[in-house]
Amino acid sequence: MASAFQAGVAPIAAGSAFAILTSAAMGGYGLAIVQAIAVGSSVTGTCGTAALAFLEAVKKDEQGDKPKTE
Amino acid sequence: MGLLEDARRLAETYGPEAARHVASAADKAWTHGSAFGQEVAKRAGPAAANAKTHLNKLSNEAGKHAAPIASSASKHAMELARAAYNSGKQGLQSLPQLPSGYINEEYDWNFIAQFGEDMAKQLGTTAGDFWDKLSSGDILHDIGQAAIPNIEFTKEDLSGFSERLKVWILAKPKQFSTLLACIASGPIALAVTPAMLGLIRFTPIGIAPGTYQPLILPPDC
Repeated sequence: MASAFQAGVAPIAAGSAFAILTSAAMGGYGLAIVQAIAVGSSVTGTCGTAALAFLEAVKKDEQGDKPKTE
Repeated sequence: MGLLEDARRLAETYGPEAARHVASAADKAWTHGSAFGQEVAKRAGPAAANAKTHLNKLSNEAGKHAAPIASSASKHAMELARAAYNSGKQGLQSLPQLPSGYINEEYDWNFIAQFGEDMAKQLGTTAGDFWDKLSSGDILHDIGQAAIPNIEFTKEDLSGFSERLKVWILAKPKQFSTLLACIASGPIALAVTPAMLGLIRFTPIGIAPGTYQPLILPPDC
């Protein structure tokens, strides 16, 4: 089970996930997917919170604001 | 939607198994993503400031690297992708506003449709199920709050991102890796479901009430 999983779905899903975020950072197709996750998830949920934070960082990047570091 | 309901219900019992797969996916996302990011930087690096002008090229590159599949596009998947997009766009009214014109409706939707088709084919499900899972609800919560690994990003590895976003990711690696896992776990949640069904068949506690009945073969088989 594990080997089939590793060889099949995981590489595609994993590679796609990073591609989606790279695209989102550039305002591409990935932006729609991240937005869908942000809106579709509860704002208190793990995925929703991460998606919102990333969107805000992308927005600040686009507007040229200095990013905040914690 | 029965498949996803089953996944949610079974995850309550077999959450640790699902979490193990998703946490592993976050690691793999990083491994594959790093290579992809460097490839993007190699091709578009000097033009990073004008990355949007290269968007179509980048989308096509992403298609080659992330989801190489047959060229036939699914109208159904396209509609679902558009629905997810429109849902996200409407929801932005209550979210931090992106600059007007940021979202271009003429993006390469073919990539998204093909991505959904490919995932559905890999998982033996429908593009509809895939998009529903990816775009609705807290996926990690659905399959049992995975423990996201701590990944040490470097600026070199993040070459596909702007300098400001690199700083943000380096400052908040947990949030970035969580989002990676959230996206990757959409298809993985569907993939894990049949694995969970397999586990149920062999579990010492038997089949959970109200879920699946064992396969009963006629005596002559």
